[in-house]
Amino acid sequence: MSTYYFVIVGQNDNPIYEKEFSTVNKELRKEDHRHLTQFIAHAALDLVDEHKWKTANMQLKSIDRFNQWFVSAFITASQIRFIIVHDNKNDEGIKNFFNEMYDTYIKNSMNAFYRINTPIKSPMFEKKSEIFGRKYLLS
Amino acid sequence: MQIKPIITYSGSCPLFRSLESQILNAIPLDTCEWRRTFQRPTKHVRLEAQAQQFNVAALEKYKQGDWSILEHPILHIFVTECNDVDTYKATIREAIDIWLKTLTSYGVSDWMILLVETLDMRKTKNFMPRTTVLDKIRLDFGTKNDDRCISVLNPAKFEQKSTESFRCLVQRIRFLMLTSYNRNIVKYEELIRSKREKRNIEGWDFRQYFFMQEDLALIFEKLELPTEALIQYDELDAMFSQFITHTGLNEKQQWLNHFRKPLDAFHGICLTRADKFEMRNKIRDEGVSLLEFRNYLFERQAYLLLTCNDIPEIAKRLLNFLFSTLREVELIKLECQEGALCCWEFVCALEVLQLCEQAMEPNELTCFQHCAPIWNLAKDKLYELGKLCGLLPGCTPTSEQLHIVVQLSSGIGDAPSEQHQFLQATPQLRDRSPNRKPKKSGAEQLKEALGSNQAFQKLYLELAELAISTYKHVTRLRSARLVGLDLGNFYCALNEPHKAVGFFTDLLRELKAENWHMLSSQTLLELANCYRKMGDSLAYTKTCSSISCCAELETLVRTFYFDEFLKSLKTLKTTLSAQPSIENANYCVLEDHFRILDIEVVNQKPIIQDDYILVQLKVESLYPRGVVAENVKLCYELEASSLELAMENVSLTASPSTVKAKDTSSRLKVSLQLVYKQDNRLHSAAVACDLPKSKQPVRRTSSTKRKLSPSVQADFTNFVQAENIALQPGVNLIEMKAKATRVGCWQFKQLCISMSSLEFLSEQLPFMPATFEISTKPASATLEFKTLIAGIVQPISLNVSGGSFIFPPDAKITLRCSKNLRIRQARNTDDEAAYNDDQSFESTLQVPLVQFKSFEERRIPLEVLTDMPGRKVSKHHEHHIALNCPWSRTELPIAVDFQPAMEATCRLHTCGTQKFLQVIMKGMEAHLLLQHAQVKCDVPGVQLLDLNPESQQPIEIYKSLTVTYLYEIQVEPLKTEHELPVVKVHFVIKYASLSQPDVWRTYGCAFDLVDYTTLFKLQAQLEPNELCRLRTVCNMNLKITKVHENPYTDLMYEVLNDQNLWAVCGRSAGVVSMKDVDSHSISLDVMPLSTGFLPMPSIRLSKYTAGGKSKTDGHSKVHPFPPGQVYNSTKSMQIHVIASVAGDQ
Repeated sequence: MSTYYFVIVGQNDNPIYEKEFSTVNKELRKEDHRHLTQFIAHAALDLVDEHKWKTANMQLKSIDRFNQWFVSAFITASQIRFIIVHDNKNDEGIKNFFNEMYDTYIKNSMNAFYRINTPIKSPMFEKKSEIFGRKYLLS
Repeated sequence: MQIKPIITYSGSCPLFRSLESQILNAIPLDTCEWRRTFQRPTKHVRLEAQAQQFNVAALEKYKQGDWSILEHPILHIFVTECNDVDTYKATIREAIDIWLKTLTSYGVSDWMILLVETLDMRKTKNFMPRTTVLDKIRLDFGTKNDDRCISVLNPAKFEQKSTESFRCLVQRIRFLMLTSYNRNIVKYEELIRSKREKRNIEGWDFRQYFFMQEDLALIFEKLELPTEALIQYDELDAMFSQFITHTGLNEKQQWLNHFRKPLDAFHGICLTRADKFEMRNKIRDEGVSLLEFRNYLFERQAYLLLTCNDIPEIAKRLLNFLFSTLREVELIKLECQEGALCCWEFVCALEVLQLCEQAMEPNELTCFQHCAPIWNLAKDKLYELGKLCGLLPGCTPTSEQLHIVVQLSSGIGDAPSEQHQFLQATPQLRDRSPNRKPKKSGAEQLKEALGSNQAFQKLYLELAELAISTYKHVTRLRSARLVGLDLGNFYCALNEPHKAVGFFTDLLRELKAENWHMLSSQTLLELANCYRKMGDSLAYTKTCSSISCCAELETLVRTFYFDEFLKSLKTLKTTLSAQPSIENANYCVLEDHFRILDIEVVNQKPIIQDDYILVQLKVESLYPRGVVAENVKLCYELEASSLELAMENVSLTASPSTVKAKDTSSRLKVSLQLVYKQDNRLHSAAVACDLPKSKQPVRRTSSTKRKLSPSVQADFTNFVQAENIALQPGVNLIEMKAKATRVGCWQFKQLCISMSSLEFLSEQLPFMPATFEISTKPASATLEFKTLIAGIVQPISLNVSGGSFIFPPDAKITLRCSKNLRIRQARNTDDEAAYNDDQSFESTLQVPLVQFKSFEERRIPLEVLTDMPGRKVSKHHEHHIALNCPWSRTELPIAVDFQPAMEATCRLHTCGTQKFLQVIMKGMEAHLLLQHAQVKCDVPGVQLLDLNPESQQPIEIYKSLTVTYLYEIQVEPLKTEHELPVVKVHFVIKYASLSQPDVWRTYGCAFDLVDYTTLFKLQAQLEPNELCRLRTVCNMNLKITKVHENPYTDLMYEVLNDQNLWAVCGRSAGVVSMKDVDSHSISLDVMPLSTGFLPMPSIRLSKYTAGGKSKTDGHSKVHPFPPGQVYNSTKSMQIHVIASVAGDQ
């Protein structure tokens, strides 16, 4: 059993994309977490700000622990933050997921009709996120 | 447990035992440099040692590979006291050889041969041998290891002399021990590595491997290498985790069953144990649970980190330690009591936190960074335990829960005996204050908290506050607010919602500023619950309103809170009157509930003053159902086009001149203040707030991007509004209107929607709204006319411009004429009778403005008529017309100038005693018809004879054309001038304009005839009277004859000659006296200057008053006679002048 909550945070600390990957039943998940993963992701933004100046790497790896939850982060050159709140260790999968989502995000940013720091509503982005999540996180 | 290296001794054992205490005590007195292998840095190590007699059993274990580095001797010493070479050859050499061969057979090369010498024997013999026993020993055994053969003076007998020798011995022992350790450690590591590689073989036991590697760690710790020791423990930790994670259920790992004991005891770690290796013995002998094993590992790691003065690392490792252990417990599927693991986590957390509290600089800040989540964890675990044991606020523990508490307390166990303060004190830790109470251990605190509700609450609040403050200290504000959410919920459960509001509000502000809508919705739900408990109706109403507008929440939740909102909205009125304060303001952010889509001004530009401004507001309601807004207002302000600067000279003491600059955007209104010196130089410049003091422009708020309520309320002096508007979910179109009162260019600023007593104020309009202009154009009425002619009908037009004035239906303009001026509206030319009737003209005219609209211009044709003046008074005849307009209370006078249509003058002509009156009519601007000219005289005795021919046709005159009438005046002889000094005659003529030939009007003019009696007669005669020659002097005889009696006696005559015609030779003027004679003759000489028929020279006769007769009058006065009193009979006579050449012939 594993649960992943993925969020892309814009430059103004606003969430622009949210996605939850889980092998648990949907109803059970809603009752269990009660938006706890979102609160954890929001609280971890402070740690991302601390870690981003300590390494030249975009992969910040695991930056926080909250009970049994891990928080892994990825930060782009334009200060867009990718955060995953997960309950089991999957460093390699998360790393690959971040890289793929980063490519997808760059392509979405090149869309002339998309403005930076606004919510991403692209169906292609949603589809790619689903594919990479199933491939790298849930398997 | 004392860990000391083992040194074996052989040979003369009693001798070594006599020296053993001295040697073992001397080894730790100094450090020795340790040159390590594999390029590792050298280190100065302080050693200890213990001595044992040589035993082959230990070497046997070493050979078989089943040896421990703790029990293995690191140095073997052969002791002898032989000083005789022969004795050495006979017995000692053989013994050493056997001993050495035994060591070599076991692969041991760490040995030393010690020769104890006695100097007394040397002195007794009195001779030096060739070779000593030491030389022999080195020759026999130490060919390659000379340093392993050493001699020492016996310190028991010669204490003073043997100090240096003994010191060398101890130093050599240290060196050989360290050298032996280098070799042994390498071999032991190889042994461990080979053991590890066999871990997948059946029958392999992790515990045996554990003890082997821990022995190595203990050696490293003994050798003052805590980092190396820590590495050993970390490797053991990782291997253990890997075994459990990957092969937890594998049957090959039988040794795991030893750790599958039920968790009956779940005490946490203890970093201040008196006996550090108590658990180690228990692991070896009895077997421990997984939790106890993990505790032992972490305690050892923490102790080593503490030795390295790396306390932050302990805190850093704690969370990972806790979570990994929990995962392993779950994987092995150990049975444990509910809440046991929470107790374990709590006690472990508090143990590390207490250690971190004693940390000193520079570890303090780093400790805080890692302590903050530990405080949070402790708080969370305590909450879970409270929930399990019925200790939460509002709960009472049941008997079953009390039983759980007892079981948990027994499972926590007693705290182990601690070291004394003296032993524990280290320079790296901060000493406690003597006055401070010793802090309880984590286990004791937990037991106390689980004992009662009050103790639980006290500890929970303390932990939460510590977590929040520590998070804030390390600038993790979001985490602090997350803890505040939990603390707020706890305060709500404690029935202290006023304390919880601050935490919820802080979190809500942060989430709203960063647009985390889902989380802010959840926080709003908590906040609403809090406000309901507090009884704060206003805040509760606002929060319910916000919740019902959250799209992220479910429909049922939104509908429920919407009903709550409507319900509490009705009770707001009474609440507000009871609590009028600034903090309890009754307005909230409009953008949370509505979305402004469009604002459009419907009026056509420009908007007229006093007209209605119509605005269409498109707004989207986020409420789940319809609401009724009592009032919707949209305020507007003047748009400043440019910055106006006033350059004024002010002194320093005077108040600075303020220049008001209103910015077009919605920023705070500021004004530029310039202060100048007296010499026009700028002294200072400042920017000040331009709002009135009564309004508070800026209020203290926390430094966040978004505010929960608008801080600045715009000026609602001018606004458009709509009342009682039903707003449905979705897009609503609201029509608002207001009366345009002020003139200017306006811009919308803020929208306000009122429901009951709650106001929703917008922050800033989402787009730049279009500006609109209110303008006013004054109504005006003017009279348009060209040159006006008196006496005939003249056209004039009244031009009315409505401007922005709104005309009533019965609006009219009253025109009031001055005296003798009449006016009427222009009629159609078809109506001939009315057109020619002068009775239709009136002195006052009212012009109705039928259906006159704003900004309409209308031209009303009028006609004016005035009489011609009876006499020639002035060039222009001035009149004025006063306009009384409905938009003004005062009359507007307009000057109207008239020119006369024609002009009449008269002249008096004389022929002897006969008098003729000539009347000259001169046409001016008008084109007129004249007829029936008459002159009347009412004086008796005077008769006027009309000498003009009777004319049937009217005489037509126009500009510059003159018509002359001639009349003879006959006065009876009996009537003299004395009786009739003035004769008045009236000239009357009828005229008509060419455009109205049928309308005849009468023009009259009065003349006064004075001095009409002939008094003197002049006669001039020129001699020769027939022919005068050019440039020949002629004689002119002038005769003045008195015709009528008159008082004038002295007369003056003057010859008025033309310089081109006549030249007067001699006297040209003179004075004659007519006192006693009736006529007087004067002879003058004149000379003609031109040929032809020349007129007679003119002569002027004047009355002469000589000067000097009276004292006051010193000058003579000359007054010419009027034309009627002097008759010149030869005025028109001409003289024929011939040229002088004919005279020569």
